[in-house]
Order: sequence, then structure tokens, then C-alpha cells
Amino acid sequence: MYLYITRRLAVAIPTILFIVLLNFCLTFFAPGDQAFAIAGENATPEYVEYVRKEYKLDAPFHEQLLAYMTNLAKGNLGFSFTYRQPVLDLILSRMPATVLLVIAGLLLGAAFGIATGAFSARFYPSRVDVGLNLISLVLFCLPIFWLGLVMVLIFSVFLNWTPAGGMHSLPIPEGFGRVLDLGYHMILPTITLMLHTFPTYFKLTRNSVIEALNEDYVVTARAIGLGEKVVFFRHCLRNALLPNLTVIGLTIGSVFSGALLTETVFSWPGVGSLMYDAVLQRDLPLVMGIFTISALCVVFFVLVTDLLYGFVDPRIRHD
Amino acid sequence: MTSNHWNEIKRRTMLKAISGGAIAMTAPGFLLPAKADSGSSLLVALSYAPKYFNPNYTFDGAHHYVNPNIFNKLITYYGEGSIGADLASSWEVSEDGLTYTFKLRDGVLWSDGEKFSSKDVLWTVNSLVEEKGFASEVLNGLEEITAPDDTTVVMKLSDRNSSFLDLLASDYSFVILPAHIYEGTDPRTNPANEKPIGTGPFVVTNFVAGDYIEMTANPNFFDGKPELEKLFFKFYPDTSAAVAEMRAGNVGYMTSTPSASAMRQLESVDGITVGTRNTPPPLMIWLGLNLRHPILSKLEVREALSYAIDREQINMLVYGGAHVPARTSYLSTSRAWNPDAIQPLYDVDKANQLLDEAGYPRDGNGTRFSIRYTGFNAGTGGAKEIGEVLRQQFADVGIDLQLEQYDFSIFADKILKQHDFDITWSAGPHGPDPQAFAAFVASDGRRNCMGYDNPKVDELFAEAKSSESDAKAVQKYQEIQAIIAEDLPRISILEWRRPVVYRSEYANFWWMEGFDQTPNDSYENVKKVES
Repeated sequence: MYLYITRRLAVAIPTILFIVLLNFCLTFFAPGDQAFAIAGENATPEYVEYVRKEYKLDAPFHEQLLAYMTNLAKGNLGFSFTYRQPVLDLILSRMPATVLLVIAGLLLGAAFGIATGAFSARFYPSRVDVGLNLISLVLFCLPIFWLGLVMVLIFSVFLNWTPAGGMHSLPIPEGFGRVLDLGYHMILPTITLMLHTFPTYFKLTRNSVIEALNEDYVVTARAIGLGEKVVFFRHCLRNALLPNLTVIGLTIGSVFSGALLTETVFSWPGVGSLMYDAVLQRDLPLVMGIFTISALCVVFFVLVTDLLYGFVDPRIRHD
Repeated sequence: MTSNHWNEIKRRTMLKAISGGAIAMTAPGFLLPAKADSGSSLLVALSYAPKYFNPNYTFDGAHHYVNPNIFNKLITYYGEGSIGADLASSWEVSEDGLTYTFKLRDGVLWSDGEKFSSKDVLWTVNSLVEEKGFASEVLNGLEEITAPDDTTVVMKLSDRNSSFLDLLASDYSFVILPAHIYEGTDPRTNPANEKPIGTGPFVVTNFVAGDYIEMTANPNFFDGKPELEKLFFKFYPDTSAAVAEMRAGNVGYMTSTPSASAMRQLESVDGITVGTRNTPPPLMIWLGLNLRHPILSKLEVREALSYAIDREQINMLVYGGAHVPARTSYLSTSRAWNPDAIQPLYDVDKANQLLDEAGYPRDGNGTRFSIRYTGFNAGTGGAKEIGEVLRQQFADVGIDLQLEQYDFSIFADKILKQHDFDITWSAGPHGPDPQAFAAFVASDGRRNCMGYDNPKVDELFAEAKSSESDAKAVQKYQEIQAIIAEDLPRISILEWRRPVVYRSEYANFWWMEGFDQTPNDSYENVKKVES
């Protein structure tokens, strides 16, 4: 067991280093003069040069890379050009909004997907199953921003049931009203995310359950006389949930980079819209900071999932 | 036992669902009053989020939408580009054009109660020059600034500059900051940059950088307390989300322009008004011709291109007729406009003839030569679509137009630095200061991507700048326009009219008749009328 954990950790560290290097190269070599972007289109050549010097944009590649790596090791992700605040503080301040939204959407989508997938598999083959498959396929193919915009159109503009965007009304209500206001604003984006994540878990669960239902141990269990519900829930579903665990683990890491498209459509002030704004404005420290944090989160959660898997599935442990 | 358990689960799930549903149904009840209680407030949708409030030292493209409500400049632009009083109630220029005397308003208070005086102006200007802040550019040529008394400021220039007042009034000029807050501190990191103290009609009460700003009416504002009690600015990264919010009744005004198709839809929506405003800076869409290119270096070819373009068609197809086809290099609204300096207008036969004469006959396929068009995704939209229409129009005269489209962030590098283009889309402010055009055609012009170098034009700009009178300056600018219309380093396509969208229950915006004596982008007169 310990060998398993150590091996996994050993792989994670070079992965992180490589990702940071890749991030840095990608943003460094992006076309466009950064000093121009920061100085703005009405700046004089003198001001552009001033910007270039102040942010050390003319230093050679290896110098900038070394400086970045050293700072990173100290926990300093740099200083945002546009916000004039430390990058780490900015990202952390936007995290709660993103985590709230994406976790809610992810959990609801997963729960709903698993329940429906199991239900569908139970009644395989049947018209209900075919119908659910079709719905799942359609939802999988719909782009999330289109889905979001259509939901806004129907539920906000035509029916006026929910707000069209944002995380809270202005002015922000006091006390418990604030919680309700938040919930009110969360309805549409969460449902959109839920509909978007649903198909994956649905299909995965459905296929795993159908496969599990055809296993020998199910025949044995029925032969012994166990009730259908015990066979289904305690034996089949448990095994079918394993692949879902992998997918959830892989997806949770990316929660922290925010659902960029959803946040943009719903004007949700999270990490995703922070990244969108930063890329448009060429705020390199902020862009690199967000990429690095996302990468770190993904690596961390994949690691955790690996370890959890080892716990949950004894077959993996003796690897 | 198993079946009882199962029933129990079913019963509990049912109860949860019912109670959840019940709460969900009452939730709107809790919140709808909050929404309807907008009272005298306005929510403005921004497409670009300001991150802090001090525009003097660093550039931030969103500042001029928000700052006129918190701060004031000395003078500013009203309506369509006339220079009007802000903190300076009147001003005088000496005979030799070197001394500008500004009389400041009396009795103005900062939002923290302190009195405003000339020392604030003095400090702001000196600090700006010292720190080489972004806005110090407008003060090029300033020799000295003095404050003989509390309500007078005198600026001395080293040379005549007929554009000085325009520079002070522009969107990119400096605002007056409170000396008593900033003196002795580093102005770039002073916390007042996030919680500003200003002289404007509103005071910032809440601010989350990159998300929203909440402002309350300033009861001590020198022009009277604003009608609106609260003013909100919210950042919407996606314009369609802002449009949806406007239709739902939450957003009252949008600073950006929705797409042409969205505009068409909005025109027929109850409760929303669509109009146009011509507030500065005036924008023009034009094509830059790379004079370094062997084919484009020939004047006949450039003339032919101008003859081949049907600007009216571009206006109709791409923008639904929202803008005005341009005939001259300056906008027709410019105070130095030369109505006779017209560029070659649509005439396909003339275009074909010129291209033949230039030595570019058609080959077997009917093509004379191939050339690139580079478009950019920018705030002034439609570059890609313009390219597509041009492709058709140029095909009529035998030119094969290759289209490429990029993100605006590489414009500066690709076009201005590397000159990697044949024909490029471009836009940008064309005034109100007539000297602003020098950026495009002066040999050292910042946006002169074409490589145009005409000493006569440079001379005329310099003479206009040091002209003794406005009339003489206008004469020089008109000469420049005549030369450009002949040399054709650039071809003007459209004069941009800014469509504007707002909810009908709001009135008295700054571009409207009767209210255009207020600074642009200031909501001091806006009020909510009962519909």
C-alpha cells in the first residue's frame, strides 16, 4: 500500500514541474507585444517603453523563467498588471464563487446521471431506455454556452422567473435574504452545468450496470434467493460506481479553473471569468497564475482519486 | 423488512421533494420585492471592468465610462465634441497663445468634506509630470503651472499648441485628485485608488474589482444632487447576457453596442429604446494600404481600389445601414472638415480602366493579381464581414482578395511594428481634435502603418499646431485632407455612429437635447421617469 502511495507521489512532482514550464512557455511565446497591450492603444512610445522596463518585459527568456520559478517556490505567483494586486490573492478571492457553482453543478449532474443511468439499465432494453439515451446524447452534443443562453432567454427574458446573470442583486440584500438571493441567482447556471455533466455519468453508469447485471455473481446471487433490490443496489451498483469515481476525480481538479463558458454567459464572478478577462487583456502574470493553480489542483485531485481508488477497489492495491 | 425500508425511502423522498418545491415556490416571493424596489437607481452594463479608479498614472480602457461620475477634469467634452466647463468655470488664452488662465469653480467640496482649491490642481499636474504617468502626455510642452489664488490656475506652454484645450478635455486626460489624500504617498498604490475621494456627482460606496461598482448620489455635488439615488456598474463579459438582463428589466443602460442582429431585435421590444449618439471620440473605419507593397505603391492602383469599393453596400450588408458611408478622410462632423477633399467613389468601370493602365491586365481566369486583407476582432466590430463584402467587390475588378482575421491584441505587433500586411482594417479615434489625424498620416504617426511619408503633410500639421487662430489652423487641416484624398495612403470606409440601447423608463442622458451641457458619460442628470 505504501509503495503504491509513494510511487504515485513520485510521478506527481515532475508532472507539476513540467506543467509549470509548459504554461510559462505558452504564455511567453504568445504572439503580440505585451507592453503595447498593457499601455493601451493611445500610449506614446515613451510610455510603452516605460511599461516594458517596469514589468521587465525585455529580459531574456531564461531570466524570466528563473525568476518565475523562484517566486513560485516561495508561494509568490506574481503581481497582476491590470488589477495591481498579487495574483494569488485575486485567484483565492474568486475561488469560492467558482467552487460553489461548479461543485453544485457537478454533484447534481453526477447524482442525477447515476440515478437515471441505473434506472435506465434496470429497464434495458426498453423504450424508456432508448428515450433516455437519446436525451443524453442530445445534451452531450449541445454546446454549454448555447444551452446557457437559451435558458436565460426562456427563464429570464420570457418567463421572468430567474435573474439573467450575476451572483447577487444590486444592492446586495442583508442577512438571510442574501443567502436566498444567492440561491436565486444560482438556479440557472447550476441547472445548465448539471445538464451538461449529466450525460457522461448517465452513460457510464448505464453501461457499467448493464455489464454488471450480466456477470456470473449476479446469477449466483439470484440463485441463492437474494431479493432483486439487494442484488441491484448492493452488488451491481456498487461495482458500477467505480468508473464514476474516476471521472468525478478527474473532473473535480478542473473545478478550480472554473467553468469559463458558464461563468461568461451568466456573468458569474469566479475564476473562469477572471481568466477570460486576463487573457483578453494580456495580463500574463494572472493568466500564468490561473493556469498553474488549475494544473496543481488537477494533479492533486487525480492523485487523491488514485489513492482513493486503491482504498475502494482491493484489486488495484496489489499493483 | 426490505419492502418496508423501500417504502420508507419513497416516503422520505416524496416529503423532501414536496417541501423543497414549496420553498422554491416561495423564494421568488421573498426576492421579487427586492427587484421591484429599484426605486431611483440605475444599473449600467459594462463590457470592460475597471480595476481601480485612478486614471492618471496607468492606462485602463474602462475608466472613462465610470470616472466622470466620481471625478472631474478641468474642462471636458460635452455632447458631440464641444469643449465645456468642468472644474474650471471659464478660461482665457493669452495673445501669444502661451498662457492659459483657468478660473476654478468656487465652493466645491471633496466627498470627504474638504474644500477643493487650486492647490489640488497644482498637485495633480506636478505629480503627473514627475511620475511620468500615462495622462502626462497631454501636458507635453507645459513649462510651468502656478496658482496665484485659490480659484485660479495658470499654465504656461513653451510653444503654441492649438490642440491644448482638446487634449485637456479628452477621455485620456487627467482628472483632478485631492492633494490632501495623495500628497506624500505613492499615488499608484494609495488606497484611495479603490475608495476614491472625488468632486463628482456620485460617491463609490462599494467596489469589487472586475465585478461591480456601487455608487451613491453626492448631496454636495457642485451642480446639485443627482436625481438618481444609486448608480450601479456591473461587468458583463458577454454582451448577450447584458442584453438579456436589459430585456428582463434589470439593466438600464449598456455602454457597449450589441451586435447588429441583436439591435434589430431590440428595436421591436417594448420598454427598450434604441438610438444613436455621436459623442467623442468620433470613430472611422478605414483601410490602411501598405505602401511598401510593390503593387500598392502605385497611385493608380490605390485609386482603383477606392473606385472599386461600394461603401453604401458595406454599410447596408454589414451594419444594416446603421452608419454613414465616408467620403473624406476626416469625419463630416469634424470642425476642420473639408467637404471637397473627396476620395474616389464607387465606379467599377473607372477602377477597371485604371488597373489596366497601371499594367495589371486580367489573365485567363479574369484575375489581375492577388492581395491580402487583414481584419481584427475589436470593439468596433464587423471587420471580418467587411472583408467578405470587399472580396465580392474586388472580384468585380479582377482582384483576388485573400482574407485573414486575427484577435485585436496582436494588431500593434503585426501591423504597427512588423508591417506584415497588404490591406489592413483599422479604426480608432479621429478627433475631436483635428490634430489627432496626425497619428495616421504624419511620418512619425503612431498609427501610420502604411509607411506614408510626406514632408508637406508633416509641415502642415506643425503649422496647424502653432497657428495663431482657429481659422488659420482649420485652413491647414483642410489642405492636409486635400493632399490625403489625392495620395490615398488610406481609404475611409464608414463614419461610425454609435448605436445606443437603454430602457425607456430612463431619461436625460448626456447626449440628449437639453442635457448636453454635462460631461459625457456622467449620469448626473439621468432620472427614472414613471412610464
